[in-house]
Amino acid sequence: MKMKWNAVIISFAAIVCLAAAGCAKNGKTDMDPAKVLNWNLSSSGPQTLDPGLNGASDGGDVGNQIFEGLVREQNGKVVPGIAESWTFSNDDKTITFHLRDSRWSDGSKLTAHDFIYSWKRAMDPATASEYSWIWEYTNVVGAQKAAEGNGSLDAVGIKALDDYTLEVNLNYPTAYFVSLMAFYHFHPVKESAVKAGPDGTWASNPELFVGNGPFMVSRYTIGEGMTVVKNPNYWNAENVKLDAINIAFIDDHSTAYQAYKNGELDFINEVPPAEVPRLIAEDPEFYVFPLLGTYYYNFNLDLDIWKDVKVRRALTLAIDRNKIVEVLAKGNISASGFVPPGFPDHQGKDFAETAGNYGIPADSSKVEEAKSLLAEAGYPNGEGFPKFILLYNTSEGHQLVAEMVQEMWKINLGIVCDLENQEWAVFQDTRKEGDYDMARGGWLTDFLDPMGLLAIFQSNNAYNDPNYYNDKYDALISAANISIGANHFDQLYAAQEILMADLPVIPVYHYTDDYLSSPQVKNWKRSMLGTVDFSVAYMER
Amino acid sequence: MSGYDFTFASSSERTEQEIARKSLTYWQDAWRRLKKNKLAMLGLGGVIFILLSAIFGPLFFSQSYSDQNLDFANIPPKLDIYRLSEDYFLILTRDYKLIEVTENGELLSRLKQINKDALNKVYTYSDGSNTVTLDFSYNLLPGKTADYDYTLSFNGSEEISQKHKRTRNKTYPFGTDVVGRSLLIRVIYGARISLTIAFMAALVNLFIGVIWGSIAAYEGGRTDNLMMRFVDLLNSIPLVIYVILIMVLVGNRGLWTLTLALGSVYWVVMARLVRGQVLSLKEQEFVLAAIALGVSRRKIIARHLIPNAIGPIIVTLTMLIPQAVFTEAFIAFIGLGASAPMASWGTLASDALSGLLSYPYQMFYPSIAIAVTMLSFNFLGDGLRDALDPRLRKG
Amino acid sequence: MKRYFFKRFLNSLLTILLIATVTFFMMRAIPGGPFTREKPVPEEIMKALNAKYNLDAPLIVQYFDYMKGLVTFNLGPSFSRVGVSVNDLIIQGFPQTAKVGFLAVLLIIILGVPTGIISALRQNRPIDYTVMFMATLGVAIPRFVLATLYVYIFAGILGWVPTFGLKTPIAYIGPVIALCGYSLSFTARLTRSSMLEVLRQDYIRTARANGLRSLSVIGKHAMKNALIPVVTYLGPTIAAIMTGSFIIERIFAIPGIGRYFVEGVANRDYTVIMGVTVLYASFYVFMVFIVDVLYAFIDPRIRFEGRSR
Repeated sequence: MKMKWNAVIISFAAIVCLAAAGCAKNGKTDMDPAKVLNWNLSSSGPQTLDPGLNGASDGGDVGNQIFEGLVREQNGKVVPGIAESWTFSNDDKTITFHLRDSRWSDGSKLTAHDFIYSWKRAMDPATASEYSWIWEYTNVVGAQKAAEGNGSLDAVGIKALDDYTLEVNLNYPTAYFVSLMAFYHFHPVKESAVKAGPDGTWASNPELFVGNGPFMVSRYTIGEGMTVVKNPNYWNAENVKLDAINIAFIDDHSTAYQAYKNGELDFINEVPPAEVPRLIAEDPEFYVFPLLGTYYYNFNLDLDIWKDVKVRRALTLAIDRNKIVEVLAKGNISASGFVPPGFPDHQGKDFAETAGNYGIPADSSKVEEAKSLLAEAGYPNGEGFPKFILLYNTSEGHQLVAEMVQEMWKINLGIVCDLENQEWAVFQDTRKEGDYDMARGGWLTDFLDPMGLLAIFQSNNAYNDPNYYNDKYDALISAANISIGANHFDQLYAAQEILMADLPVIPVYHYTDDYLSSPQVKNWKRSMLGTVDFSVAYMER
Repeated sequence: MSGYDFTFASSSERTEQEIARKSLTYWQDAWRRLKKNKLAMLGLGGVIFILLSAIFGPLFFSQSYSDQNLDFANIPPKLDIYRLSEDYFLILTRDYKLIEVTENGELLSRLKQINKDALNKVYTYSDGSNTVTLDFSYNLLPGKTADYDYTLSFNGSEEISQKHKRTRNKTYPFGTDVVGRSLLIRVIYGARISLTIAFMAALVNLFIGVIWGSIAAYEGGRTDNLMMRFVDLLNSIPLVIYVILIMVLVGNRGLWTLTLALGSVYWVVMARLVRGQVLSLKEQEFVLAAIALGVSRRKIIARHLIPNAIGPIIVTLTMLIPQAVFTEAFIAFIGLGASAPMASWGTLASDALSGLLSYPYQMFYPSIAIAVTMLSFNFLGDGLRDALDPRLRKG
Repeated sequence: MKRYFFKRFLNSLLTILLIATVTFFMMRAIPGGPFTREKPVPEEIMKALNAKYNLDAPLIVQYFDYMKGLVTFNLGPSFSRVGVSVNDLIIQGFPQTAKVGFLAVLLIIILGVPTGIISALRQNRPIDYTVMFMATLGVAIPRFVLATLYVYIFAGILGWVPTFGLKTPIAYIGPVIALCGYSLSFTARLTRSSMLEVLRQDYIRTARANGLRSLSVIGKHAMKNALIPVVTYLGPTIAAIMTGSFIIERIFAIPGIGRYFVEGVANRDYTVIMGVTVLYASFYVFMVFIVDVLYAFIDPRIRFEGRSR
């Protein structure tokens, strides 16, 4: 018996040594650690790195380092990328991009034809890109039809006038088109590379990867992490100060936070919520940015209990949004309208600020008004109001908001509701089917225009979960879609006014993004849409 | 030598012999031996206490498990009190809230933050008539040496940096959670769900698991194979999918659907264990003797095989119950069972995870409740094992 | 007996197919699909995506296609990681999971069984109480707490171990402890209880009375019989531990396969769900089979054949 135990102990020791030896091979290459950034992506790894196939923000975050579109968008400012400059025709319906002489990471020339190929590939239904619906909002001639498979790719209004001139024809003037070109879906890919590694595998395989961004893929381990190194063929390579970025795939926020505190990571995308209030107060390296999106509750307008707008308004007014935001402690902004702050209108003024709060306060100052509205609707003190179910998808954060809202309605209005949660995919199904009383909703826009948010409540929109219908609203949104400048924004202001009077949804708060960045990381940028940009970042070790 | 070597016993002598030891039934005997075991009685006491507080505990409080006070969110059970003037006491929370308290630890009201100077790390608060300034810049210096972290000044008076005293939170003895609900009350209410789950898990294991396993082993051959392959199947289907399927098909009808989900799969470990025991036991002589005597199959299993396997059965039971308590939290998270704001111990513990570093007490109390319950059940279980062991009856 | 085990082995293979079948249809019966998104994918694109992955074929056709793939060890493409096959995911992830799992299993066996025995031999002495108290703690403290606290204390405060990954040998300690805590406690308690049971048997008393050295009594007679419940428990447990845990791999950021059990379902990544389920099921069914074989070795009296009536 004793012999056997010895054998076991010896094999135990052997395994430990083996494991150690096996891991030693993974050691980092000899790079100057002072020029290497350690960054956590806060996910267990992107779905794909191929810009045309990607549909998720983690892939977009990496994509912004290894690819580059016609432009880059940094903190709301559009800066030239592969396009040196661009001009508009008189009717604003034709945009001509003048490309710089730039190269792919394999040294070959990058031309306007590459953009034509990449875009047509992305919108081609055969590619089955998740994000090809965005072509509808580009207003490019023929693009929506092509993306839906009802039109030829040849009829799409994009042309290469020569190797370095790209012409785009739009159905209507579209103010946000240029900034949209920074989005990952519009990044160029090289045809020969794409063909070499089907289904986007070329993008995560260091041997097949060809990109045009400041960095290129040099290592990719599924579920563990990847390394990107400086791309010497990048047009602005002289200003790229980092030699490499090690990207970790840690999806547990507490672990990532500990690793940051230990110095194993320099830059993390999210921190445990309970740490945030302390970090906001104490840590100058903690950043909170608004994200262009809104957290809200959908009324199922097909149900009789929500028919009376007074009831909807009463429920909307009875919520103390400031308290909710304080408990969530993510630096969120209370939502009084549907459009979040951050969209400049034609005069450069903030859309949300100019629009005002439509009488919906951030605090509990209008509870009395809510009470009387409910009484007018025939439910004094909530008496006789049917019990309903507030549905959300499984998540601690959603549960927290739902619990607070439930209690506020109970205390302030005497209205009782039950909470129910469903697994995420089940919830998506239920909400889409309209099989709910009230359901959580959230919407983030992908382009820098309030349209990106307001359009979802058009009656024919696939994301109109409350099943809202108001022909005036529909008309205003349609009119806004084909106009720019003052006209465009006037329609949108009017549209949001109608929306907030009708209240098909209860806006709760606007999303935020948080980052914890070591003081050694300098000059990193972020786009309004929430994509980080390390193209010109450097380390001060 | 007299004519008789033996004499007849008198009638009184005969009855004396008979009542020397009352004949005890199996259960009476077990109870007698259980009473002698001190640890087991401690466990029994613990179990009774927990059951009573779960059933009657809520009657002693006017608050409910769902009552929130957002101003008093995340207040710990122990308060560090600063004394700002003769009769003005404050506590400072981890998320930089100031709360006025009484000297003995009752929460009064929260001060409003009126100015935030993030650059110099100075916050100003007011309760309407008094102004308090908090300077926390010193706390953040890397090489600080003094024994204080913060300085507070009351209506511009001189700065106070030393804590007055540390006392228990009188308003919320276990502290509050992230939306200011009393943890004490939530733990008491949580006991109702968790104990129900524990009870149900025990029942399912004893009734389905033990019987399934013993029949499979005793019958052997094809029956055994079919029954155990079914166990393999139940064990291998992903629980998440199974739970979602039940939710979609039946909907969430509270504890009933949870029972269905957990109960239908939660006996496989027990079944396998009992089968292993019975396989070995059924070849032993006493079973052979019982068969030879013509004892029915059911009686052999119930009277001879299961009592002889009682040791592993009880250990397994005491090990599986806490597992069930945590599995319930997982299933509740997916959407079956008690809906929020009602929360079981398991749910309370897993909800506290994200704030573990800042508010460890939120994890501590539900965990302690689980641990104490498990210890009680373990002590009781160990005692029961000894008490129920048929072999120990002899000695 | 040999014939029985041969038949039993074939049965095990059938069981795996049965598990795969049931999982396949259950998985397809729940709402949502691999392309369910917070922002719903428009219908046309959904059609194109479904066509691309052959998800538009009748379910029964898809089933037979999958089973055909399964018997040739082709587990299909993952949906949530485009272009990566499930075979690749398992080939990349399993070694990581298995390394941690193997160490955890070893720890359970070399620590759990002996402490259980010692505890039984020293029943109601301090060492027994200590072991049992620790075992209770090991059960009452869930894995996620153990793992989070470990990272906080040893990586955060003390800085003795790296926070994430398996880069150095020392990084294995946390995941291994968190992974085996519960099973270790279970094993120790089960061993103790079975040992106590056996020690009370008449033949052990006789053996002791006959003056055999106590240790050899335990070795030859007691141990063997006490092992049955322990072996029963350990078999399937090994299968579970070797295929990893979602929580442990998430908290320690281990690029293993344990996380796919939960992630796969959340993403409705059908092929990944099937892949890890079949992998686990095979492991499990194999271990259950081994346990039965071990029974025959431990207690030669055990017969699996049906009772002749």
